[in-house]
Amino acid sequence: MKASLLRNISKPFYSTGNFGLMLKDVAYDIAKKGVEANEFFRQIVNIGNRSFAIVFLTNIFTGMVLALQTAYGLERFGAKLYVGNIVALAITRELGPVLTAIMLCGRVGSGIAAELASMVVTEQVDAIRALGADPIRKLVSPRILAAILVLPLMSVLADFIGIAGGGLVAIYQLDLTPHTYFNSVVNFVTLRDCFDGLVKASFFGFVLVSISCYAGLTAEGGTEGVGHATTKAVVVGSITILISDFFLTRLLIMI
Amino acid sequence: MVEEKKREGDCNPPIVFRNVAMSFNGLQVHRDISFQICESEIVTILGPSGTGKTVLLKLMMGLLFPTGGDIEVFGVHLSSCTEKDLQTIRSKIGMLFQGAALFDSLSVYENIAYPLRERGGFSEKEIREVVKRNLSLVDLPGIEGKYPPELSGGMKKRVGLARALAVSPKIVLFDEPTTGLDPTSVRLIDDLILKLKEELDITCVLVTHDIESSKRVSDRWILVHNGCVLADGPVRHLLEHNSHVKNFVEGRWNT
Repeated sequence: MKASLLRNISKPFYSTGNFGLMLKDVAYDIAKKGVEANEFFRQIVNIGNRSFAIVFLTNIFTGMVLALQTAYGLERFGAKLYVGNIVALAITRELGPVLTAIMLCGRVGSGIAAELASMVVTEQVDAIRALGADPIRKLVSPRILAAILVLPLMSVLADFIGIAGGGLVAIYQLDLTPHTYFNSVVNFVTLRDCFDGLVKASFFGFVLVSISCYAGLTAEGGTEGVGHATTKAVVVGSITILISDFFLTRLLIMI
Repeated sequence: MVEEKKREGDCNPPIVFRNVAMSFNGLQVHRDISFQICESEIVTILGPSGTGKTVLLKLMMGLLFPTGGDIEVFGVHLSSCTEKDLQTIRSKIGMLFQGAALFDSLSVYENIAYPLRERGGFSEKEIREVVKRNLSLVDLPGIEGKYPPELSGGMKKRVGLARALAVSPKIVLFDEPTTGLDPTSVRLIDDLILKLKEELDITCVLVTHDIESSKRVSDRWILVHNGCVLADGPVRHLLEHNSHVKNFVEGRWNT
């Protein structure tokens, strides 16, 4: 009873420590041997393909609802013309990267965790080691690097789609001219805003895939373990993204 | 101790377990396991389900590490090995996993070629020859282009064996090699195990519940129960003189 309680208390510390060790192995592997090109490109296609539709739908409707809501508030001050500024700033600095990361956490993160967990419970990860290869090099490093690269690309896409969504509402519902809307976007958003969004997206890519890989590789107990690993990847990944978003934003504003 | 050393020296054992203990999350699986496997010997580890027989194979391979005692493989103490040393040891050992552990995303050809590619130094022509030869050996010629999900359980096992033999190992570990196979395939695997010993001098360690198959191929049985070795000796001798073994084989085992 006492031992079991102690084990439960120490479990989060143990997991955090092991997660850190996995990241150390990834860093060492990439620094020393680079990354396997074939697997890296396969993962880029995989992550991008899996998430294009979901990123499109999420961001177009977010842009649209954001335009509606801000217009509702700004109309009271006769400032409806500034809808484009607020939509663009919110999307590029915050909603684009965060929503993309959250959606990818559900779509890609869960897929990675389930795939790796299945490999663990069917002994394929043991087989990789038995055949003289390194599971970190084969399974983790290419996925993390691909996510670090793909997330900013998806985030750029999300920015364009979100702003376009806002534009649809601004033009067809709020009766702004396309020129007014897009002019306010271009004149207000700076390169720095876009850059901050990309930095966030890269970081979120790293966070969501490394957590998913860890959840998958530490799966235990057959098919039930696959389910647990998937849930863990999505829940822990999403929460970590939201928490780290605050601190990252704070840091980027300070710099 | 001196006698034990002498015995070890006599048969030139590539695998020696000394007072090995193993536990998972506080659950003691092995308390005191000691045995040795001699060169060119076929040994079956028997025991009721859940006694950690597969764990013993993974300990031999350095895929798991004991919580107590010492394991020596090819004269090297596994506890003092680096990952690189372990990879050298693993390159001399082939393992057939319980569910074959084939990589679902790779074709049969790529699965068998995998250890060769990892080791390096083989031309594509050599790899093709090894794949063809090994598939013929397990009586599955011409299935190079198929993927694991297209194969039956028995075929997967035989492909797993073809992969385990790809790097010409000195020891092959078989985890339930004949479970779920039809009698013809069982006979084929049995003949193959005998052939490995007779023609290639390969040491084989089996974990199985298929007593008839084990009687046919094994030189020696090791019966494990409650984390200890209950019986260890030549098959015929144990069947005639050991009450534990007789009870186990006849299904009158009282746990």
